[in-house]
Amino acid sequence: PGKGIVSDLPLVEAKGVLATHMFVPNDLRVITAENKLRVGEFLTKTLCTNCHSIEPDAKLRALPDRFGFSDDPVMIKAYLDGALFHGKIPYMPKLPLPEAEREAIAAYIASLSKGQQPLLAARQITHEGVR
Amino acid sequence: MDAATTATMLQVLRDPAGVPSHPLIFQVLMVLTWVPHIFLVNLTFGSALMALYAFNRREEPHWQRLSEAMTKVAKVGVSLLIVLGVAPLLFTQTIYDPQWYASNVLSATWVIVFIFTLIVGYLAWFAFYFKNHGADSPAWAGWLGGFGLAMFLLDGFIMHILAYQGLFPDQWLEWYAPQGQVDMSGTSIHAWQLPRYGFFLAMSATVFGLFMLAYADYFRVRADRPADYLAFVRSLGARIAVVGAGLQLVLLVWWLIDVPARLGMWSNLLSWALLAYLGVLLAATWLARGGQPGQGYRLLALGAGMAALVAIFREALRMAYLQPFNYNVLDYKVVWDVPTVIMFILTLLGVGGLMGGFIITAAYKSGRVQGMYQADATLQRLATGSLASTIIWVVAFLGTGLWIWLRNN
Repeated sequence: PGKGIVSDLPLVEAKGVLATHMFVPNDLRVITAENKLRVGEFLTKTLCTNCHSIEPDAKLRALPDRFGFSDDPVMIKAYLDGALFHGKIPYMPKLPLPEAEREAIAAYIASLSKGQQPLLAARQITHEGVR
Repeated sequence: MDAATTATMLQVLRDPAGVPSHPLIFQVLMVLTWVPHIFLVNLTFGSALMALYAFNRREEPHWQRLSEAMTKVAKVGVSLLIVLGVAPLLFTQTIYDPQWYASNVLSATWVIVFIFTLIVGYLAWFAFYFKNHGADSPAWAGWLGGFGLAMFLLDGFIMHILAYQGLFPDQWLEWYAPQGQVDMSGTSIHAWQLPRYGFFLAMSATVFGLFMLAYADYFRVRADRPADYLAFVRSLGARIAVVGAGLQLVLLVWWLIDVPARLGMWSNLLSWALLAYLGVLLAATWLARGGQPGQGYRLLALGAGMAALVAIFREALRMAYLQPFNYNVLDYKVVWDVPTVIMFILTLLGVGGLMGGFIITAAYKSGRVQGMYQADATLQRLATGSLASTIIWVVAFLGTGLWIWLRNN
């Protein structure tokens, strides 16, 4: 590797961000039912917000908008499990996170769209309206 | 965070690409390049305050002339301190990148505030500069100037906290997530030290006072600068320098008392060297109170020596703060890049030396002549040399890029 730089990704894939990141508060190191959303928030803000806004009405590639304002963690996690995990998006880095961390991120991103009209449902309504 | 974990964290936060030559070169250059930067910061603070004070007494001709002149000094000072601040900043973020970036991220809002307040403050200073002409200049211009200086002082304080917070890596996590609650706002100021900031403000009085002595000597050859005005400036400068050096001594003692005892700064030779040097400087400026002409340059050089000693002391202090975490810049990973280092040194000496030498010589010589200045043979040779070195630099810079690009295609 150039200048002897070794990739951190295998370490992240094996141990996760919570176990290896130096700035994780102690009570967020292990995911529980109680802290899951807070862990998701920490991971999302640490890993995603360099490029993505998190407010639903923000203009800078806002995460709720990118997931069609879905509040379904399963749908969001499918993206983290697939394209993002394997690095198949040309303009985004590969992010091979452990299962539990992907779940926490998905839960948090889904929570951002609470109270929003999901894009998919909105289309159905329009469709039905026309019919 | 305990010392061992902090030590590991600092190693992890270092740039995995390493540095392209021996880290000692970076450390020495960081200390050396910081000297002209802080010298101009001090000069700017001092001259801006004097410009405003003199502005309030502008009905008296000497004060009015001094106000206009010092407004210009501060205007040029800001520009130069920014240009000369780039080099020490780059060296700092090369060998002290964990400290510098962590501190910047922890107070990120203030980093952005720094940029905007510097721009707004400098614009306000320019407005003051444009309006500060003659005894009947409008009073509101003075308020704008005051606002400008307030912004400069705020910016100095922001730089102080960014440098200071970097010295406490064991507290960063607590600052980032107080009681486990992550604060990503970057709006907090986590640590600052009054005697340290105060010392640099006092140093501004010293440096500015010495500058006034040199200023008065410099203009002795100009017929349009009356001797009584220069004597007025000289006497004022000597008094300001005495007060500045005295305050620096007091604040240095306070600073040393305020620094944690475990750093052992009282048994550090540099602390005593700086105290002694300030004592000598105080005595020298005290003796210059008589206002005899011809001592300005010598005393200004003594002031530059003081700034150099302060720079070394400041680095020794940083090393002492970071020693418990085994942070030593000398064990920074090195990935040798000899051609880059050679090109850097040649650029520094060739372009920096010749172009910088030309500009300084031209400014020095032309300022001593009333009306049109006719360049002498030395300056003409310097001009030719600096132009030639710049052309060679451009050709070498672009040529290297082209050569590498062609070789890789």
